[in-house]
Amino acid sequence: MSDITFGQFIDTNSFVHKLDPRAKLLFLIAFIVFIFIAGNFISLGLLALLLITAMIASKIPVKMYLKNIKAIIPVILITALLNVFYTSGGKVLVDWWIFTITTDGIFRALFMALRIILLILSSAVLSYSTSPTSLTGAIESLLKPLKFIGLGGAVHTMAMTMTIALRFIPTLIEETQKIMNAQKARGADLDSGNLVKKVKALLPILIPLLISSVRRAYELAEAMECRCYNGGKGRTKFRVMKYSARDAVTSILLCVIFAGSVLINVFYTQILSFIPFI
Amino acid sequence: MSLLEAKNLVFTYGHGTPFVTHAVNDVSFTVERGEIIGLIGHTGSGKSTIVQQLNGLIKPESGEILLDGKNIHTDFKRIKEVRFKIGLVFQYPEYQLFEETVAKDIAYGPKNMGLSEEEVAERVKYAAELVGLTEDFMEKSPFDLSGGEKRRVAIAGIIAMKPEVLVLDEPTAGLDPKGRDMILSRIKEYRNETNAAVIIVSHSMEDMAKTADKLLVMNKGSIEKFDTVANVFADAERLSEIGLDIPHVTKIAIELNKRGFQIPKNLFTVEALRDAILNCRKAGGVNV
Repeated sequence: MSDITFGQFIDTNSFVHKLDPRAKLLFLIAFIVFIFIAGNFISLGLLALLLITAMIASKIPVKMYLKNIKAIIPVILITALLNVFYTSGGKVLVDWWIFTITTDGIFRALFMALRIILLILSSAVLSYSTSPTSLTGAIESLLKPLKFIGLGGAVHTMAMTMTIALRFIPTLIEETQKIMNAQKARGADLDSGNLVKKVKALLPILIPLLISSVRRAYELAEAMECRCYNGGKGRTKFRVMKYSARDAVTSILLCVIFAGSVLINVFYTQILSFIPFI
Repeated sequence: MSLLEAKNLVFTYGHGTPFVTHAVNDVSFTVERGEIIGLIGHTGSGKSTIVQQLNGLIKPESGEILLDGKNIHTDFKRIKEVRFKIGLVFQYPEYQLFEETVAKDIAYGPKNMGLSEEEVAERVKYAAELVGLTEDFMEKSPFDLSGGEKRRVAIAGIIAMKPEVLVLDEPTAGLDPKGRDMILSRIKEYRNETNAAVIIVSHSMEDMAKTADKLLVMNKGSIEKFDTVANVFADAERLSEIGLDIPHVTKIAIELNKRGFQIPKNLFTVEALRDAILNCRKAGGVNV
């Protein structure tokens, strides 16, 4: 249980790590949008190439990325299967009972699978290369314009809530472990019995956990007030996010690639005619 | 045959990482019925790991723990029984309270043992009385009590299982002197009534001087010393070398001894020091 880590930040201090977290967050959002705009293998391939470059630049072992894909293999398989059977058109390969498999179906299945993989890997690049704190900082900074509609305080509150929540996850895991051990020492049986019994057996763990969480919340609130915390107004940051030349260059490069992928989409048929062997 | 025997216990944290630490390294000791053993050591010396190994919450990597001569890990089903016989009170046990009333909370352990309702009720009454909780506490919510009272409820929850070995991890941490003496005297009382063995983990040498019969001194995962309280405190220099203190009384005795008075160095109770000083004066011809 203690190996559950929230946020998967791995600090390799690479080029990707040093990018402004706000820029990275926007890059990811744009990337995901363009994955869905891309309508063919060539434009999707261009995006894949970009992602692979980012993955290599992040200096994080490939094994870590593969772990992410492994977790969603069932989702990929189900999506691919549905696409195989529900797409018509193209050459019919198999026609048995109610099942028809066509070349279009197989292409479409592969295409969707690739899309999902790109989606997962791109988010992994962000979460591996950005600490949870700077990520919440980025969200707070990006939502700043909300103050023009009177929600400035809410944005800070939300960001602070997220930061505190992330901070306390490991603490709560440790606490749970302790309480579980204490109740086991009193003969608690957590593993056997039917569902009702199992849920009942959890009460001696959940109640103390809930009570100590509330206690902790009060204590933290008091500690914050003692240090004169009064919301986001006039509060400065220890780590100031800076949009640097590094970010500007990356932004331009990404814009070019995204534009390229759109152009490939638009002129797909013309491009195909240049490549005679397809 | 000893009641409890630990044989060559080994436990390591952080396997396969660069941060391997030997929490417990080849530890062996025996505990007899009716003994109160103080387990002392610097932070990180392996005390808590040993304590959790004793009732099977952590399985030792090698070595074994024998209760009445039988290994506690022979059978998966036996481990629950072992936990009732070797009752473990965790550090800050008041955070494990969860029931609506004090009585129900104390009853949780005995109920898990599968005892009859009368038996459970009787044990709850026994344990509550032993730790000094009066009848009017029983229907209160445990969350309305003071810190010291909560601590006593939690300890009663373990005592109600009538363990043959009562293990307490820092039972007096964070309590005022009155609460501390109260808890320690109740633990002694339990030993006197049931002849159970008691193991107390503590940082307070004063507490240990008052309560324990023998001291098990841990240093960096190994046993430094396992001897009577007097013999352990006699070697004050070694104790401070491994980051431990000695009781104030012992400090005074050593200081007097250094200055040439005929006072033994291994005194650890106020009464013993008083008698030694009186004897010393008598010997010097001073009338007392």
